[in-house]
Amino acid sequence: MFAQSDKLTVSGYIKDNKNGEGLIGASIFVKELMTGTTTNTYGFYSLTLPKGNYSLIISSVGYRKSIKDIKLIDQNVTLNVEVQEDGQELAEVVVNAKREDDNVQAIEMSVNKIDMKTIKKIPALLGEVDLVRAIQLLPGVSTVGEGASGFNVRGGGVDQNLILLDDAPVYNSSHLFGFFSIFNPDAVKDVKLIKGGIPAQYGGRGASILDVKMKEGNAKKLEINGGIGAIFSRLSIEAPIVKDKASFIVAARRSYIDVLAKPFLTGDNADSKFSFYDLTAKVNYNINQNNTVFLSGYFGRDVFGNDFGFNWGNSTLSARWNHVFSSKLFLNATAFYSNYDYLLDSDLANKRPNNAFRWTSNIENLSFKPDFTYYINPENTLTFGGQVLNYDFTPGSATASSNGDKRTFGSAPKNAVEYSAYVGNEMKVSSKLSLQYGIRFSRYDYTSKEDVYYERVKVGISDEFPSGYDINTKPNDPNKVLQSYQNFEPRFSMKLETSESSSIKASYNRMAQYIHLMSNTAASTPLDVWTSSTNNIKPQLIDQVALGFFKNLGENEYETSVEVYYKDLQNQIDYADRSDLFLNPEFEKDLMFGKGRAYGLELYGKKNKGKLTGWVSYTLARTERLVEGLNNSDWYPNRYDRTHTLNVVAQYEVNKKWSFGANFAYISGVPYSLGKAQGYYEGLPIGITDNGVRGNVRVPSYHRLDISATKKNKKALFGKGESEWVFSVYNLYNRRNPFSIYTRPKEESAQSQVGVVQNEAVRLSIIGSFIPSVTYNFKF
Amino acid sequence: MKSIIKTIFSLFIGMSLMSCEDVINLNVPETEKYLVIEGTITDAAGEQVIKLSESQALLSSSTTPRAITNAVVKVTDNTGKVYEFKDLKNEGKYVWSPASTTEKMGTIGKTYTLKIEAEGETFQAVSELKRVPKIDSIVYKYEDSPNLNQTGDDKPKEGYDANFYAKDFVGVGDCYRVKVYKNGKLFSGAENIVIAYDALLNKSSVGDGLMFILPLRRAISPELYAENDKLKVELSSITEAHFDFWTQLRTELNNSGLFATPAARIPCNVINVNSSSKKKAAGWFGTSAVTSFEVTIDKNKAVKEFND
Repeated sequence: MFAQSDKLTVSGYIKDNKNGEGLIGASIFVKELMTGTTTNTYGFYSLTLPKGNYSLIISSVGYRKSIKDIKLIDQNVTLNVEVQEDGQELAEVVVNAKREDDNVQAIEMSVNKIDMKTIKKIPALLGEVDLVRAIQLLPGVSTVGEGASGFNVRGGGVDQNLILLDDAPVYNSSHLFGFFSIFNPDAVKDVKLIKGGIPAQYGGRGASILDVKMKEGNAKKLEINGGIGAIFSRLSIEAPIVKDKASFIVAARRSYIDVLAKPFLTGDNADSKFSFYDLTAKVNYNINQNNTVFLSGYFGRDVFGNDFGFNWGNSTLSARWNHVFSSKLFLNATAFYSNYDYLLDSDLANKRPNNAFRWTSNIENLSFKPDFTYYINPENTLTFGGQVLNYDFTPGSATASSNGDKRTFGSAPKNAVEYSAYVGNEMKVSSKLSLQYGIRFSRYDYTSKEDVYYERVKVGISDEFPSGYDINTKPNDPNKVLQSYQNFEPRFSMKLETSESSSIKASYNRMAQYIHLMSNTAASTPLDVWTSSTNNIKPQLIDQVALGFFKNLGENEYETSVEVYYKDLQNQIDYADRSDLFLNPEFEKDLMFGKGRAYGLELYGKKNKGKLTGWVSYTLARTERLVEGLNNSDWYPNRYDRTHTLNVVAQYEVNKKWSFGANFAYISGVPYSLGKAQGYYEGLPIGITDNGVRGNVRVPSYHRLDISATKKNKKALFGKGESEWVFSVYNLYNRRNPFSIYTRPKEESAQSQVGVVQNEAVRLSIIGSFIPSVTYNFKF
Repeated sequence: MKSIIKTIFSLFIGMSLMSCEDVINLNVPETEKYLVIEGTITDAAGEQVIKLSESQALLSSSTTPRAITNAVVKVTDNTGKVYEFKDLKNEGKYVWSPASTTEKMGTIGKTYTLKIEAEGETFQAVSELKRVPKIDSIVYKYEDSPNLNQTGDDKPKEGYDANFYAKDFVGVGDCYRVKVYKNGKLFSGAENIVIAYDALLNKSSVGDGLMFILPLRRAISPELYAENDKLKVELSSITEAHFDFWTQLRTELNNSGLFATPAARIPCNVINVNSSSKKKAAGWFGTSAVTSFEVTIDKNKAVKEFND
């Protein structure tokens, strides 16, 4: 098709010669034509050129430049190149596979890539290298507070981030509430956060895409990485199965707080379990030049309790097939399974089966997703594809038994299918102007498995109906689709080069989000339930426009950018006073719907080369909601609204042995709400508050400095490989940073005595002291 | 349900010694004044009391709010019988005194209307007196160490752990409050609010007609008891709306940490009859039927194991 007799195509894969991993975003430049392309997520590229002899310059930051001469005279050429890591220059601290001038040249904006080598150098809490904590240092990314699960992007909720692990969505990215993320740093190859100008191939969430790609496993030789830290012990093994053809990686982590805490636990707590672990595994098989298959999986769990048990975790499995139909047409077909579930059991040891309480909840996905890339010519790259995504929701199912009598209750299972199709084109209009445009169509069919369904009826706000709505129960046919939604989601980005080293970029995207995380607490909890759009809950629609100026300085040594964005958010969910979101079949009664807006300014400056590297990011932002019946039906700040966020990240490489890191954060406080007055009722202080108060007060601002020092050893423990010691101090100047402020009964008066209990105001610091730690890492 | 996570979370955080709470001074400006009503009519013999006071600034250091005196307080039942409450000592404590020691004011199934005329405003509240089951038994056993909820600096390190047994009526929506007295003294702290929806803890759960579930049975031992302690458990019926009131009061008293919810309104069933008046009420007018069970802890009557 599209036969162009005077043109031929060169295509292939660019890989790292040390471990055989495909390089993402490497540049292939045609010297004679002053044009080029970059590799895709799998390291594949394709260039269609007029017949002739060419020199291709293959380059990517941190790798030696490679020049290949090709004859494109009578047939298409396959050119696979393995490039060598640039180990000579100490200056090349940041090793990532992108073009040096990517910041300015690439069409994408509002995108942050951090490679694992950089993340590993950031001083970390308890020395645990953490991907989610690292992205919180980027402009436009924040969190509701220390220890909170998830992250907020450009004024979006934690549920508006599509977190993909090898294309499978992850529903809870945290271990131990929000202290550590579920990603094992030894198994991650590439991290990309897309905050705006989201291409048409992505959909399903409103605020961002966090695309995490796992390592494929060393295809050249056996490699073992591991470490012993304050929280986790890690071990990963990667090796070729068939050299240069097939390889695998298996990486595991386990916490051992429980082991350390054991001596301090007495009585009922002696058998307490506190542990979290994860296992990441992947195999790939390069069948031939045109076919590669991957199978990857993740399994992680947090386990707490003794007799009473509570555990939760994600599991994902994805199978992918990369197929090169022709030198111009590339397919990545993915099938995945993803599950997030939790269990609470009052009788884990099965000692009291007649008096037990057991509660489970889960969300499960099964999906198939073909994504095609058609390299029409150097000026046009067409992407198209689709997805069928099946959801099974079990919002909550509980069994309570008392003296042998059982009752089962909860919120009935729900089912939904999300269908989507997209087409997009990246187009070089001229040497200065590039466009990326596309459209995504999504459709969502919701089915309830109950024989009744619920309809919200407006009754007006009162103490009995804090949301102003009651629920009517109506008969339902479980075999019929109860509600369908469909949306067109246009996407557009443009880049205009204003000079060799600067560009202006603009983008617009609409995102439709059909699933929602029910969470009315300050930080989201592992119990929070993902729920479907229903006849009552409409899909969230989020429109974003962004404009930016990008400039590199000093031979791409410095990257800078300024971006502004504005978002309009429809069908946002908030919660009525006294909402009951767990195990409640009528929970929709407690929801309140409204709209949102978010806007901000992001400044970013990054130094890529030299002994000193790092970045400074500053965000000025506002995120607000308007919900009838809340805050006197006036705009109010979201609970994760932060006005100023400043992050400074610096890494200094003294010599081959020693390097140092530091980061500093200054973040404005989040809003919280406080009552108006108090009375006494049976000796207890009773707060008096208007209905639907939101964010009338602010928590004081937060600042923190962390440092780290890394000492590299030539040899690991057994005289082989290499190793390093990482010393770090989190919260160096020992500041008690406030997470929240609230009132509580005074302890002395709360004792069990008749009398009056007084309230006092308390400031909570989740991490209230400086935390030193030591980590030992090794590699064979 | 949130309390479960909070417990687990605090366990971890406590262990790690990372987190800390500092008492701070918050200056909360005084806003409008509310009339605070505290009173529950019961079917027990004897006096009935309704207290009226004025709200204070949030976090006020005074534990003696201004009493509302000179009010006219009357309760009328659905048959039209009027009960007058008098502020005998001029302290905002309005009392109805029975004519005889056996006369009871409250009757199960009747609806009571409270009317208050205070400081130029008229307030009204309506509540039905609901049924309550009797308590079947209290059972206790010796424990050589307290459980997590019984641990505290001033609490006994060993003693008797008690459970009580009562069965919910068949029919969804019976609500109860459990009060516990040790040697005549009520456990009245913020952590001692024990309420039940049918036989379970939460409103959205379905536990109709069950024996009160284990956590409720155990709630009568906020600490371990000693030999010869008198333990009395009172089970009171409350209306569903009163259950909502207690649920939210308890939430607000324990609303802390990572998983706090925004401050929310605690419901109030006392309404200013002049809806355009700025003067509002807080608190609750309740009606309860009460049953009780009392034991004196005797080591010879202790069980070896609870039968659960």
